[in-house]
Amino acid sequence: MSNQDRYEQWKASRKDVPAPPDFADSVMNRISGETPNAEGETTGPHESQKVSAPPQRTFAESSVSPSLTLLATCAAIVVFAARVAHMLSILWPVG
Amino acid sequence: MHVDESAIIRQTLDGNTNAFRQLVELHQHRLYRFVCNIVADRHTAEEIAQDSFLKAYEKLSTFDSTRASFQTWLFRIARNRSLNALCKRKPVTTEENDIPFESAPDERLERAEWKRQFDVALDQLKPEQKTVFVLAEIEEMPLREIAIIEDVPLGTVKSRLSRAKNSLRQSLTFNPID
Repeated sequence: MSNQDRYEQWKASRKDVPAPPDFADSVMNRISGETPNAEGETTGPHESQKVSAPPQRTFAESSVSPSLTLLATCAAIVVFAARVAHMLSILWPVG
Repeated sequence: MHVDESAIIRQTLDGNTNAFRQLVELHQHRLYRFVCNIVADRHTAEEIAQDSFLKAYEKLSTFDSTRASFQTWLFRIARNRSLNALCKRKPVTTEENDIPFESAPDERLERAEWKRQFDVALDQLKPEQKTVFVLAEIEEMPLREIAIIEDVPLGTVKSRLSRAKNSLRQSLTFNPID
């Protein structure tokens, strides 16, 4: 057997490492708070042990288009500025 | 079978926790194997791999599919946790090491010996060389993907891989890596 063959065999042995059969269950249990860790110390579900749910979609991921939101914001600023100008014209009338 | 990961991620973000299981089942073996090859201890590897999935679940809303695939992102989380574990652990002697994986009774002594030499040589690599070597040679990931996981330029990945192979050659009594 050549050294390269030995190397390939060693790599193959390193690839033959499947996750434990209950791995996915353990992860999902930890997410729901039923099992605290990989040591199998089950304490039953507790709210305090639940993994925080992923936050709801952020602004960038929401279904509302960012450009639409920007347009609405600009419109609100224009309306606000117009109201301020109107109030100023009442308080300090020109002429 | 094609799995639409972005759809699964959207479902999870919309509150369907069970959808995340599909991502776990899809990536669990490869991620566990990667961590196991870095930390060389099955129990520690299981804990780190589980923690990595939990962190991914918690931070899923920050995942940006335009920058990397979910697998790359997940491996980056696991890589950082594995290196933290390596820094914390005591130096492992060959006898204490959980590797080698095979110990068939009919295995020839010589074969066992060179496998042991490989295992020890891998374990003695610098952590940043070890992760690059495992990702490139055992996981057979493209170097560009490894650069994202390692958060270093492509050239750095290439030099780390080259140094890792040189170190392995020097550690072994024979020269296996062409």
